[in-house]
Amino acid sequence: MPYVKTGRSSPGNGGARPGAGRPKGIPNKSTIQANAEKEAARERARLQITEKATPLVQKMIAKALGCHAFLRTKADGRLERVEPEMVEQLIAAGETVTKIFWRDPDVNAFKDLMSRALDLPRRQTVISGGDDNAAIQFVWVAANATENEPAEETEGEES
Amino acid sequence: MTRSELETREVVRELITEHLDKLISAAIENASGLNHLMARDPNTGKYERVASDTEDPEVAAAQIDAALKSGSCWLMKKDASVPAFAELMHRALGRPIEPVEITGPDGPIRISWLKEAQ
Repeated sequence: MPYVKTGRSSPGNGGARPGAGRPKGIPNKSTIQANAEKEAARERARLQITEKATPLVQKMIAKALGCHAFLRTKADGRLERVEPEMVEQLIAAGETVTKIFWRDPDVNAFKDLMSRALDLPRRQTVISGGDDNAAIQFVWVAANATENEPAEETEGEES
Repeated sequence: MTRSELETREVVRELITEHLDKLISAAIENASGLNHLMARDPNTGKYERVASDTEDPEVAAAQIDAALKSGSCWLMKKDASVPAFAELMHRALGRPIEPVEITGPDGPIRISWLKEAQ
């Protein structure tokens, strides 16, 4: 007899069992393994970098400072290199001393060092809008207040 | 963040803070315009910055002395660095005020903590 597809489900005769399979939201084994490997690699990288943090930061400080030398203008107008320790004394004696950079201070290094030590610069935002540029109000909504009638307004912040 | 990460962050912060004054002075000098010592390259005949290809202070000092002795050198004032200026201003005054305009249906905008009951 040829097989006839009826289209109706037949409870009790095969099909997925209730509650079977991996529950939703639970990663499968390969994902769990991949995440663990990634985490281990991250930790390994972190340790390697942390070990070298001090010399790395010192290099960056040197880059941010740049390299300089001091030149004194002699009486005949010619220039002469002087040691940094001599500079204050020469200036006090009224001589002209010029600082020259043979390596410029690096702005990107400076930026990053500042952010590491002092966090990012403060951001300032002004919010405006609406037809009449009305102030924006921050309202504490009490438990029994309705959407249109706030029970207590503790602060009105202007834009 | 783990404890060791926090400790490393603190070490880095202290290291940088130690040099803070010098770092800011260097950035101010950069924003004001730096002086370069230029000398004529005997091979190419072009004026080039002296000691720009070395990191060793002793080598740089020797090159500067040699250039000064040769007599064919001059001081050049470089233009002020705009990125250095911008960063210094950000540090001193915060970033420039960023206006945000909210447009949409008329009526007030309400920002509030919503209780579970609502």
